[in-house]
Amino acid sequence: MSAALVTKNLRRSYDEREAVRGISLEVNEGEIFGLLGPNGAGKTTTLSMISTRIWPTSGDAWVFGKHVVREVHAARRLLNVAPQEESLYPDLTGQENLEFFARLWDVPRADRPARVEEALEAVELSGRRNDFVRSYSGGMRRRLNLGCALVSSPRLVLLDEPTVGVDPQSRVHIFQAVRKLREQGVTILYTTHYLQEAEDLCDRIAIIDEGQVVALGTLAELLNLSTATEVIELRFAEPLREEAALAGLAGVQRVESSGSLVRLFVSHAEPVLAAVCGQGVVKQPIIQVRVTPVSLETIFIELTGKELRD
Amino acid sequence: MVAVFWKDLRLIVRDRVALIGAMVVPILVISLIAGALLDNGDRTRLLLPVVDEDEGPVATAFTKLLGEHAEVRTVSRSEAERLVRDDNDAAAALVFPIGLSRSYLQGQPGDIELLTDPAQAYGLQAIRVLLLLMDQEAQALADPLSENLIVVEKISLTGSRREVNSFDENVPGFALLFVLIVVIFGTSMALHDERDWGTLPRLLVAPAGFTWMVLGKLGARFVLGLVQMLVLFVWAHWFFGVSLGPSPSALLALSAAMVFTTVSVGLVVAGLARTREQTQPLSLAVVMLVSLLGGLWFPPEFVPEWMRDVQPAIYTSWAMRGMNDLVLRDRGLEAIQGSVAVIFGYGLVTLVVGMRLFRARHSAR
Ligand SMILES: Nc1ncnc2c1ncn2[C@@H]1O[C@H](COP(=O)(O)OP(=O)(O)OP(=O)(O)O)[C@@H](O)[C@H]1O
Ligand SMILES: [Mg+2]
Repeated sequence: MSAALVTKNLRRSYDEREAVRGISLEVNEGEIFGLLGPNGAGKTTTLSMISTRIWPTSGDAWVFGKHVVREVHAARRLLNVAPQEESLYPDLTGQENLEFFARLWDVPRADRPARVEEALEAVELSGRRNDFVRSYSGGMRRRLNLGCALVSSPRLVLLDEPTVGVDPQSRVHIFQAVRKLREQGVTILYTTHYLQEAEDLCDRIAIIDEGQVVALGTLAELLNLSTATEVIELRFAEPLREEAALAGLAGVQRVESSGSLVRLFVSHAEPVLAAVCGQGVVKQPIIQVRVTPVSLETIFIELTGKELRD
Repeated sequence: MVAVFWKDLRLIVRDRVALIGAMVVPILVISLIAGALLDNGDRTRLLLPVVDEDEGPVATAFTKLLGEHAEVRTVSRSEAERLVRDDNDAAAALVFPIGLSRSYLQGQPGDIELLTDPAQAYGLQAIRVLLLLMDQEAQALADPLSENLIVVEKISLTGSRREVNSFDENVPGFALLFVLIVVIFGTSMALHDERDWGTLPRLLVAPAGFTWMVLGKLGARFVLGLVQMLVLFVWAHWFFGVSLGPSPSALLALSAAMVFTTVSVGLVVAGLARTREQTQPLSLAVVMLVSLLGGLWFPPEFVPEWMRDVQPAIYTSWAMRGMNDLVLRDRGLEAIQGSVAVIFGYGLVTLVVGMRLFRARHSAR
């Protein structure tokens, strides 16, 4: 397997603020690679550097061996991007949008009809091809936004949160399209802040936070990062004041609290639960208790101390 | 570039209302202006109410002199005020105050009151000129030598035409003005479209690159502007008999150079503006400046000295010069080659500057 994308210590500053602080990745050809991170983590900035939209402040990136700054034209031909914000012409039809982007990426005239057709089918918009984009629903626009990135038959597709604001049905369509791309050997870099998407769709995941990779691997590898196996979620009526008491319990490896919700990372839930509920370790009333196995979500919270919510 | 060019043309053509507006509105306005010029020849005489409180020989003489140039109506003061202030029929009324004759004949300056309606600036201007004339003629009565005794015969040195009409003098300037307005506003706003549509990020990573994308957009605007300009000229020719000169290729070359440079100016405006909204006041300022200094507003003989000095720096003055060569002097391609080259040169420089500005602002590197 060869590398579709390599980045080495990518950095990017906007004025004083450093948005991306040294990201190094190696994405294999034909895999769906997820970039998971909260708002402002630097996902879009990273994608923009790879897509050649902005130059890195320092560091390098290669797309199939082509450097994104020094061989920018060659790199551009190999990739395409579906930006986070819709990037479509409202006064052209769906088909015309696709035809335009095919032409812009120098798809030979003879191949264009077939490419446009494929893209329309991939995002299941064949039925609305001749309608103006301004008459599309939000979900249909997001699908077309993805379709426009496929029409040039890129070997690397960068998808920036393609499912934001779409209904579950459109989301399923998008997932199917992405999986089909992988079957065709296309490499996909997929950013999201939905844990579920990363779990379901991605072969490997990099969790990024504040411009840095905090963990990288397959789902199983990420789950193994935690020495805990279970997580106890305790909800209190008001923010907890006695965190120290919980942290001191035997078997508790880590305590993360956000407001009135407290998570205990433990290897075995039972004895800890008994201690918390039965022996009254904390005086404040507990209104809800939940035990879950370690998941990407809990890993994420463990690694970043942040919730991943919209 | 070709893809962007056709896409933009398609979008322009698709917006029928805007397209027809862009073609028809200038035609309408030009027609109105031409209509106004047409009226000029036999327009109703200027009404000048006169209040004679002096009742002496000087007031009588002045009233008679004025009567040769305007419709003088001797009225009471209250009637004069009504005509000016309430009915707005006259731009001003003249009051010859008591004792005017006595002081004038003694060689002392006499005050003449002018009751004005400042809203009627043109009429007012005309009346001021009349007063100057009146003063001059009054002096001439006493001094016959100052009369203009030389009669000038018009012989055109520059072409075969003897006479030009006021259409020929005014319509090309207004046509250029319209092309300026539409092309500069259109271009500078269109360049912000891609950002507003959110398509800029995609265009910026297309293999062709930023420069070609911009050139494609400018190309579409160029075609639109050129078509518009030619439509306007053809209209002026058919309906108002404006001469277009002896050489269609000369007209085309001049129009193309003019539109090319104007499109480049639109790019500079777009580059200076951060948002589409900012392009509007900027476009307006540039259009006004370039058209005024370029001499598009008045026939050349009305242009003051200082403006004549700065004109070579303004490309529209070269366009105007070229138009005058074609329309007023009836010359052909070889006569305007120089102008076309100068305009085109300005266009190239402007294009490069505009590209740099626009790139610095919009292709976030
Ligand atoms: N053009 C810009 N100018 C200045 N700062 C910027 C710009 N774009 C992004 N940033 C900053 O860079 C940081 C990372 O932004 P980025 O858009 O890459 O985050 P993200 O992970 O894509 O977030 P989201 O999930 O909200 O899309 C943020 O702090 C943001 O404010
Ligand atoms: Mg983003």
